[in-house]
Order: sequence, then structure tokens, then C-alpha cells
Amino acid sequence: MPAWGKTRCYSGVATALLALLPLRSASAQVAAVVRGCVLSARGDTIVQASVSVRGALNQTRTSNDGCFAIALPVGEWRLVIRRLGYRPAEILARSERETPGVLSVVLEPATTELGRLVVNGESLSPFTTTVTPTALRQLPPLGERDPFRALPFLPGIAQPNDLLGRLHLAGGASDEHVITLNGHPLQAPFHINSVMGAFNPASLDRVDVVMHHLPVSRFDRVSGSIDLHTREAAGRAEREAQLSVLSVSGTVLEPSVFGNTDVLATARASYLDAVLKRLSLDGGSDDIRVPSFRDALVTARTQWSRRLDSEVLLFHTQDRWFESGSSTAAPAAWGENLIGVRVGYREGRWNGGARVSLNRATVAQRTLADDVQSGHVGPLESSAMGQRTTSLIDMDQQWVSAQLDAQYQRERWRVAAAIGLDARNHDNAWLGLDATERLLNELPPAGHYVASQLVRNGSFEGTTITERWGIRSTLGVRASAVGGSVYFAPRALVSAPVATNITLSLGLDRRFQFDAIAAEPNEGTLTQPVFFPMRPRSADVAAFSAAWRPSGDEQRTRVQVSAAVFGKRNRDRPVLPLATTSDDLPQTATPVGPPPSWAPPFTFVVGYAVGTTVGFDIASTSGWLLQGSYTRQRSRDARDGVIRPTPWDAPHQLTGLFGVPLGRKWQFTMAGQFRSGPAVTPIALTVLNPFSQSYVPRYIPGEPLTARAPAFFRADIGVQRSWIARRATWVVSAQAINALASDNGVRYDGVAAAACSGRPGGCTNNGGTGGLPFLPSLGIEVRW
Amino acid sequence: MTSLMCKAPARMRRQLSAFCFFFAACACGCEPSAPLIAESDELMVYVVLESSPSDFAPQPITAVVARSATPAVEFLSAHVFSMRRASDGRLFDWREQPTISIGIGQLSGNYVLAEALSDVGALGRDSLMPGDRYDLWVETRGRTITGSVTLPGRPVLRLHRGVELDTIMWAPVAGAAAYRTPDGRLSADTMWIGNRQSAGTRYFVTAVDPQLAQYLRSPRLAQSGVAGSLGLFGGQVTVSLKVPPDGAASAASSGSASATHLTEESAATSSHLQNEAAFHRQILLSSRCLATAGLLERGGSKAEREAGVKRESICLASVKGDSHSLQLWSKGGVYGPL
Repeated sequence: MPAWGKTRCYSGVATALLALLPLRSASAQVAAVVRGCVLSARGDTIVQASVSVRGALNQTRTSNDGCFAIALPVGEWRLVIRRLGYRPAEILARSERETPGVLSVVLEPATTELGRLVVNGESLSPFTTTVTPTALRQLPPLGERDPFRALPFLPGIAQPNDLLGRLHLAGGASDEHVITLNGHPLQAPFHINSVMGAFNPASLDRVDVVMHHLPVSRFDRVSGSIDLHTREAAGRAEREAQLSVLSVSGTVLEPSVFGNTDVLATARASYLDAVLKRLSLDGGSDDIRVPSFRDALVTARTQWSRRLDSEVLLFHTQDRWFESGSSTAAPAAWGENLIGVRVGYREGRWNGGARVSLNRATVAQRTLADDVQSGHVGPLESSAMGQRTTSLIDMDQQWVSAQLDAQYQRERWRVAAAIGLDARNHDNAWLGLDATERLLNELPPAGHYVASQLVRNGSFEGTTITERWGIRSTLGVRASAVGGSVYFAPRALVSAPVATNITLSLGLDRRFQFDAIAAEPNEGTLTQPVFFPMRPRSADVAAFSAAWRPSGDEQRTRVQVSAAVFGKRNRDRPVLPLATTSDDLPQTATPVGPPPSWAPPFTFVVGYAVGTTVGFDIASTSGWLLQGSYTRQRSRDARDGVIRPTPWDAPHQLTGLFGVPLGRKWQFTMAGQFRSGPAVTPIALTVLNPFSQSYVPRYIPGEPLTARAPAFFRADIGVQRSWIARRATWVVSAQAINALASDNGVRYDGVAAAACSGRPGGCTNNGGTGGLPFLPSLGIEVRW
Repeated sequence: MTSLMCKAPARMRRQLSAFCFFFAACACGCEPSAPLIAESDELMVYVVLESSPSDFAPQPITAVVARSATPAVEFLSAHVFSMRRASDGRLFDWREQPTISIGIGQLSGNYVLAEALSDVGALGRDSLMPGDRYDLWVETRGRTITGSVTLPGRPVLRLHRGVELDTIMWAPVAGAAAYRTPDGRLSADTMWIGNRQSAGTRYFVTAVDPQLAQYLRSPRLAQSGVAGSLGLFGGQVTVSLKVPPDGAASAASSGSASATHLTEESAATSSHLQNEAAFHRQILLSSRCLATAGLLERGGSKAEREAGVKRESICLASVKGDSHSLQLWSKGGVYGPL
């Protein structure tokens, strides 16, 4: 069916959207502007505080001077002012045509708010979960404090293992969500082969995760979005330095550097590589592979006038991995660079903005080593006996993204529209079995993928709120034009406060995505090549959530409970045929025939993900913290006519975080994660393989993904002490990662498991390889 | 249950319903998973015949008759284990031997082929000849396992001694589906390039028959060349080439920086390499190709660089069948055949 044919399906939706405008326009009233400024108890201005109106849709944020202006009909209104780290304030404001004064709002700090891992600071988005760096500081870090390592503590988010930092949102694949930085798209912001994220938490204000309902103006992804937001100046300069096991970092947040321009600059660089290299050169093992990384982020935010502001963002990551055991191999290097510009404009009821993002991710590796053990190679030796490797990785993935958006809001309704484009140009080349191992095992030994894609998109969204019940309804549609076809993605969100402290929300989405990686990456892989399938992947998502915040003495203890049920149907999930694995590829590194141009032979299958999540957290002003989440979800797809679990399917996931003050400014924290093992392929048969003059077992795999690897369990404990001295806040911390030394394999190896089970007396190997051992670490940071 | 629900207070009913809903949602996803290691019980027979050079002291040729009682392997004593040469029907001298564990996970075979003609006239290992066909007949546990294999021809190796590289080439031989190169890889190519080795080093190249090649190339294959059981009946022919002394090489090369030497084992020139100049050019280009790719630090001439041989390029040396090609491949395009 031609894609344009879909327009008929959603003509009713568009009609309904358009109908919102005239209906509500008739209720327009005479308006006036209410002005105010938000300050902390110390008198500092609070920027980017959200100002909303109870019972109405009007909202705005404070600018760099901490002040706001919001248009309201003449009358009395209750304004709600929120900012992460502060207790919300509600004030009565009178809107008059001749309002003389400026309101002054003082926010009290909320120690219980930032300490908890899950913060619902943006209450206007019911399906958004937020993590703050303050909360990250409570988690025992895996070497480095890392936002991506904290997200699996949230309900519905899974991470494969300790050595793979990619995330699975709501049962989706790891390439089904987008990561953005201040609204700019990123491609692979990870360090050390995706073990950890490439962000210094000191530079972040918060991390928002959107899974169950995706606003139409966001990047279209079938599983959601992880949005990182950088810190903004709060009236005075702030500086921070950190020293961890792996790296050293520094962050400066300077307000009004050039006139009205606030500057945030942060940089981080590893030093462990130099230490390990030195140890290796001094007689240590030549097998040590030394990771080296650095990242930097600079933002310059300028308030040109009360209406106009802009932000320039520069982001850079770079990794190099030295193969110290080889003299001929060039180090693998990969990284990402982003230049982003955003301009915002506010005028009365109008909000508008423009964004331009230039992103480039590259990978380069050249390994040409030839160390043949000639003269002693037997006729049936394994190929592993030869040391000859010839591999090349040369990847260049460029992404230019731009968007214009505008919003007009009244008290009971709001409309927003946006247009944008995403132009991507990929030039990826690889050669050699070693190269495919470093990228994706499913790639052929040689391939060259050159492709461009232009996605033009437009979105329209209308929101209403009922005066009596406070029911908020949002209806929107996103249209994307790709290669002459147009795809429409309607979305709806209804949120209703059924009681004083209980809010129910229902989201219904259709989503499209226009790129894919060839398969799930393994541990140790670099930035994966991204391909543009012939047709988009799409999914229908339905989610229902309930959030309960019991009333009580919020001065002492705050409790929050949330639950959600979601279902997702991937109508077109691009997958490779099960037979397309490296096992079946020719065992030669010198391909013959035509130039090795290659695109994945995707087939499109139907997939399902359903789940139930429950989360709670309790925090008190005395420093107690208790948080937990349980996720029950299944993720399956139908390949070759058989419904199987996906490789990332983990039915049960349980997380917990407990913190308690020990006195004398010491804090104790314990974090635990348990989840089911991933779906794996069992060993169906053991036969033999001739090897030189002997025979070794050959394990024949059975039905794909019908068995399950051992479960994952990890408990981390940490203590930290913070104190103020010399006008600075000092924090020292000590952590014990995997304190119980659980044997968590990172890549299940059925062959190892079979070999173990066949050995007389058995052995303790459960088939997992390279799991994280007990790992102590120390850290120190100073903020001034 | 229904009446109980009706009598319960409304609040309790709501809570009970919510619990039931949550429990049902959880239970819906429950399903038993398969065991990680499935149990199996299958007959297996493995025989790989090999003809190797006379001056090479090979290990004995062994065979396996066993039962795959996954995860352990149980060796079996065959009621009949016979192998005949198809051309004249003569029997080979296979004998049962005790099995031993060679290393972790490595086992010896439980049948061994005699090295030479036995007293009773049965053939030994030295009677395995390239190009001959052999038939296998095994009876055990009431089952009959049969198979047939033809040993491939004997490759003739040519050695080129470069300044920093050794190149070995050979012509395709009948009955070979793949070749095991000196670095142990299984390849369809008939050329191999490696670092220059010192004089006296011996290179081995093995021609592999289709049944063994298929088995080695497909790690998920459980049967190739046998009928009636799992297992393998394959054959291979190994030849070796000894690197001559450097002095002799210099004398033979007549001052050339990259000369071609014919060894005593590759005296006959292959028919597909009539044009010696073209072959020589290929070797030069191959060396330069690898050099520009970073393996060696020899730089190309200005003309070569202008021809598009960039540092980012990489060499695809491909020699298959009677056609030889050498491609320099980079993201700027494919340059070749050269």
C-alpha cells in the first residue's frame, strides 16, 4: 500500500485536532501578565524553575535572572513553582490589567528530593522519570559515577550486564531509543567499549527518561528517549573537581562571563591507561589492554533579552584502546563530536525555538599483524594457532538535525507545532574477522556501507484541561517523510487526578524509527554501524500508570509509589535471519568477488513487549533513603514463524537502594540488582571435531533462544563522608562493587557450560565469561 | 469465590481485583525454558585420511567410533570396522586401541591405522594416495555406518622471497574444496602472504576434500561424508615447502629485490602462471599493498600514490581458480585488478 494511503486512516485524528482550536478560542478572555522572581532562601536567583498554573495549562520557566512572566486572564490564580532540589511553592496571584508589582517567591531547599534516585520534578509529564546527579552521588559507582549505570534502578529499564552499558527501555532493543543532550541527538556517547557513559555527572542537571509516551516533537524512536540536561548557572560561580579510580575531571559553571552569557565547561580524562601501560612496560603482562578516554562539554547560554535566549553547545568524546601486546597494531580510536545551537523566543502566549545539531561519530582501527608460526603448524590445527590478523575499521557517521517549533497556549488549551529534518550520511567500512568481532559479529568479514537518509518531519499537538476535574488530554500526530513516503504517528495522552494524591495516566502511541543496527552488540564492541532499512520499523504502544504520593508530614518523610502496565507491539522489527551468524561465514579474511558493498539482509518481524512495573521510594530529612522497583516484562518476536524471546528478554528485575546516615557526616549506602538471565540458545548435541591428531568436542546449538542463562545478582556497598572546609565541600567515598563476589557472567557461553558439565567431577563455571569480580574503589571530590 | 467477592466490602474488592490483575499479568509471561545442555544419545564415527610428505613425521591416523551421550562421549567397540581402496578393493589395517585423554577436552581415537603394509597384506598409511577413493564400512550396536571419500590432489607450491614478505602460491588441485594455509586458516585462495621467515623454515599447505572442508567451515554441522550415524569421513593431502638459504636466494634472484624461487617440491610450473612477468608484478603489488596498509613501512613511489594507493587502503589479494586478481580497496573505491 502506498504510504500516502495512510493519510486516510488518520484523517479523523487530524480533524479532531483542528477542532480543538476554534472550540477553545471562543472561550478566550481578556488577559494580563503576571510577573515574578524566584529566589532561594539564601537569596540566590533560581533559574529554569517551572511556573505552572493550577487548573490551567499555562506554564513558563524562570530566565537567567530568576524572573518569569506569564499571561493569565484577569482574576485570581494559584501558581505552582517547582525546581529540582527545592520544595514546590504555591502562591496566589492576581492577574489585573494594570498589575503594578512583581511577585517574589522563595523556595525552600528539599533535602529529600534530590537524594532520591527517582524524582518526579517535571510533574507536567506523567510518563517522565528523572534522575539527578545528587542521587547519582549516593550510588556506589562502578569506577566512575555514571548516569547510565543508575538508570537500571528505574522500573522498566534493563541493562545487559556489568560490561555493557547500553540500555533496554520497556522491553525494547538497545537501538530503539535516542539519547539527547539538551535536545541535540547523540549517536554513541559511551566510553570503554560501551562499558560506561561519556558524561561527567557534575555537568548534568538531570536525566529524563521517557518510555511509555513520547511527545510528538521528540525524536521518533520505538522505545523511548533518554534526555540529558546540563546544569545552568544559579547566580554564583560553582566549581568542582573529582578524582576517581579511572579518571580526573573538573567542572566550572560561571554566570555572566560575557555580559549575559553563562558558561558551563567540564572536562574529564582517564589516567589509568598511563599507569597500566607503565606497569606493562615494567614487566607486567603484555596482554593488558589499556583503555584511554576523555570527554569535554561546553555550553554558553545567553539571555539576549527577556524574550530571546540562545545556547551554543560543544560536546566531544574520544576513546583510544592500546593493544599493548602487539607492536604492529594501531590503537582503536572512536569518539563523537557535537555542535549544537538553540535559540528560544517567548512572547506572551507564544513560545518558539529553533535548534540545529551537527553530530559526527567516527571509529578507526587498523590491525595488521603477521606473526605466523610457520614450520610447526599441523595440518588440522585450529586457525587460532595462526597469529595473522588483518583488519580495518573506518566508520564515519554524520547527522545533521534541525527543528523549528512554536507553541501557543491559553488557560485551558495549548497547541504546539514543529517542523524539522534529519539528514544522515554514513560511510562505514570494515575488513577482517577481527573487525567484525569489534563491531558486530553478524557483519560479514568485509563490507562497505555508504548510505544517506533524509527524514523531514512535522508534528502538531493539542492539549486541553478540564476546569472541573482537571483531566488533561493531549492529542497529537507526527508525520515523517522519507524517500517519497509519508508515515503518520498519532499519539494520545490522558492524565487525571482521581484523588488528591493519586494521578492516573493513559498513553497511546504509534511510533516510527528509520534506522537500525544489524544486531545486539556484544561486550567489547565499538560504536556500531547504523543502517537505514528499506522501510521503517514501527510500534504501537499502550501504557497505563498510577502515581501515588501519600499526604503526610512532608517536612520529615516523603513517600512516592508508582505503578505502570505497558504493552508494545513492534509491527516491523528489522532482524537478521537466524542463520546469518558468523559461524556460517566463510573462514577466510580475503574475500573474493565484487567490491564488498554490504547492507544487512533485514527481515521484518512482529515483536511484542508487555510488562508491569512497580516502584517506590521513601526519603526523610534525616538522611534515610529506601527505594525499590520491580519489573515483570517479556519481550518476544516471531522469527521464522516461531515466537521466541528476544536476546534481551529478562522476565524479572528487582532493584533496591538503601541509604542511612552513620553520624559524623558519614553516609552508608547499599544497592542491589537482581534480574533474570537473558534468553540463550542451548547446546543440543555434543559431537567431535578433528583437531590435529586428536578430537575435541563440538557443540551443536539447539533451538535458538529457548534456554535461559543464569540470573544476575550484584550487591554494592559504599560509604562517603562530606564536610565543609576552606569554603569548599569535600567528599571522600569508598565503595565495594559486587561485595558478595557474585559470579555474573557477562557473555553466556554455552560451549563453556557444556564443556564444564561434561568434565568429571563437574566444575563451578556456569557458562558466563568475564564477569565483574569484587571491586573496591575510592573517590574524592571537592566543590566550591 | 464469586459470592465471597460480592460480600466483601467495596474497598477490599478493589484491592483484591488489583492484586488478581497484577498476579495475572505476571503469570501470563511465565513459561518453562529449555535446559541449557540437552541430553543426547547418538552414534558417531570420525575418520580423516591424510597423505603427508615423506620427510614429515606425522602422528598416527586415528578414528573414533563412539556414542554421543551428551555431555560426555562414550567410546564403542565396533563389530566391524573396515576400509577398502575403491580401485582394487584392498582392505586397510585398522586396529582398535585404548583411548587416552590428551589434554583438557581432547581425546585420542579408539581406532588407529597401521603405518605400513601388514603381515596379512592389509594396507597401511603409506598406501593412502592423492586422487584415490576409499570406502568405509562400520557395524556397531546393530547399525551400519558407511562412507566414501576421495583424497584431493597434491598441490605444487611456489615460493616468492620478498624483502620482508614470503609469498606462497599453488595451482588448484582436483578434489580440493579448500586449502589450509601456513597460518592454519582454511581458505579457498591459492595464494598466501606472510612475514619473511628464515632459511630452513618449513611451510605446510594442506588440500582439503569437500566433505572435510564442509565440516570444518560449518561449526554447526554434525554429519559430513557418512551415512547411518553422525560424524565425518574426510581426507586431506599435505605438502611442505622448505625455505632455501638466503645465499642461494640471492644467487637465484640475480640481484632482484624480490625474486621468485622454485623449490624442489614445486619444480613444475603451473599452467595458469605462464606469464611470469605478470605474476612478478602481482607479487610486487601485493607487497606494496600490504606496505601501504601499514604492515610494512615501505613507502610507494609518487606514481603509485597518484594511482590511488593511499595509506587508508587495504589489500585484497585474491587468487581463485585460474584467475588472479589483486585489489586495493579503500573507502575511495576499489582499485583493481592491478
